[in-house]
Amino acid sequence: MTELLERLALCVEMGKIDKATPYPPELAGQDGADELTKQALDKGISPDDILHKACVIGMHSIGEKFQRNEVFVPQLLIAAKAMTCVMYHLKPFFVSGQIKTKGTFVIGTVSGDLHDIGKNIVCMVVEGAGFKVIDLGIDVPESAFLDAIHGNEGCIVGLSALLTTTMVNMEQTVNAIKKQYPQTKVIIGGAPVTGDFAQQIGADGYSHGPQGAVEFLNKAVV
Amino acid sequence: MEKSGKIENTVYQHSIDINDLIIKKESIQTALGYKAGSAPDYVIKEIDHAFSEFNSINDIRGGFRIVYENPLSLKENGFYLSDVFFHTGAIIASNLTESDCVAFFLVTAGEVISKKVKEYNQSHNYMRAYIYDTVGSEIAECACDFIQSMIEKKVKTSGFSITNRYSPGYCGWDVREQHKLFSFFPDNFCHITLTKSALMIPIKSVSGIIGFGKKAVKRNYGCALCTMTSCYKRRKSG
Repeated sequence: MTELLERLALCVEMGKIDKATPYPPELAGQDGADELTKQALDKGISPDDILHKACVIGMHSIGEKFQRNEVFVPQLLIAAKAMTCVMYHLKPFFVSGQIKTKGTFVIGTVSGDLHDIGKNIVCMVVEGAGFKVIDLGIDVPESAFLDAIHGNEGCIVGLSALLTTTMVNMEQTVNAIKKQYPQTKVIIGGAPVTGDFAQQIGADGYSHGPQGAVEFLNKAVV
Repeated sequence: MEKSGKIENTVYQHSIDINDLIIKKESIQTALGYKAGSAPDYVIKEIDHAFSEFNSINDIRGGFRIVYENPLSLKENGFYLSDVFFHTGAIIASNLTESDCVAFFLVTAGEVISKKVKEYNQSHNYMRAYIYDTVGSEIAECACDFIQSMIEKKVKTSGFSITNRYSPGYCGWDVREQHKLFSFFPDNFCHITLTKSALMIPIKSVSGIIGFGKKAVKRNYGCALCTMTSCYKRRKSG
């Protein structure tokens, strides 16, 4: 059982989606995340273990390598695709409540900003870390963040911006959230954003990459 | 076009053939974070795929306006042009000190690339979407090189040399200043529009200025003075 989960974790980390996936070369022709997840479920391994002892481990490993500049965004993205494949099989167990997520992360690119690549990467890595992710998309007004918080008690919020002009809207959104939901934790990120700026606008955290966001979330839900 | 060493304030607009651009696959690998030759095979294959798919795109455009104001009213943190103050910040202003005038430029890699990126994201082909996005950025930069070269050729006939190019959002120049730059072009120039938050649509577009004059020089970007660690100019400066 452990060996199966270890193989699955490796497939997630290496982006080996299924048997037909040609990479990494050393796993060519072997089962990938798709086949191994089905086998694990057939063997009675709990969906929760599949998530936390394989998927989360694989994504954590690639995330750490990414943080150390040992791998780059394309490798992170194929890992995320393999993870999405595992999640597809686990979806019914999320719905039934058999899998408990660590918490809910509401994320969006703030009003006026249409950039989404960085946000999407954060979404995938955070989901792979065992959180439920609600992606509000791009150009998200304050009201949409407030509605999402209202509908997801205890959620943590992530705001993304790529422009210095829309960083201003980040401040307004943080203010609106903190005014109505003072207990809600908010993390911000994006190319022009800094830790100093996060402090200045009253956000609870800042990360320049997805792994930092995961670390923030893990601490926030303890 | 040029009269007694002066260049008219004319707007030039061009449709750019992708085959006229010098786009290097190695630059894409560098932009993705890889050192030369270290990208995995599947990444190289995706870059090749993007090149073959983009080979037929035909909505790359670029244009420029040379504004002849002599002498350019240069200040410590920017310059005046036709009563408009461009607050470029000290890094850019110091690189314009030998310039007599400036040319404004706008370039776009077009809408097709953004549509493809969106399509691949929606079909969960995230890696391809990301690589296509990166290729799109590189096409926009190469189109800038193309337009810069046109500006250089045009002013050279009057005995002028040019500076490097500078864009709002980089080298300490606030991206909001882009609105001032756009005011020097007709609406919808090169099919590029600017949102209230100074975001150009199509997204893969670049705006900027190039200084020129009898003594103007191209200096390296002042990356050592700048705090923007993710900037592509820093990458290009090594």
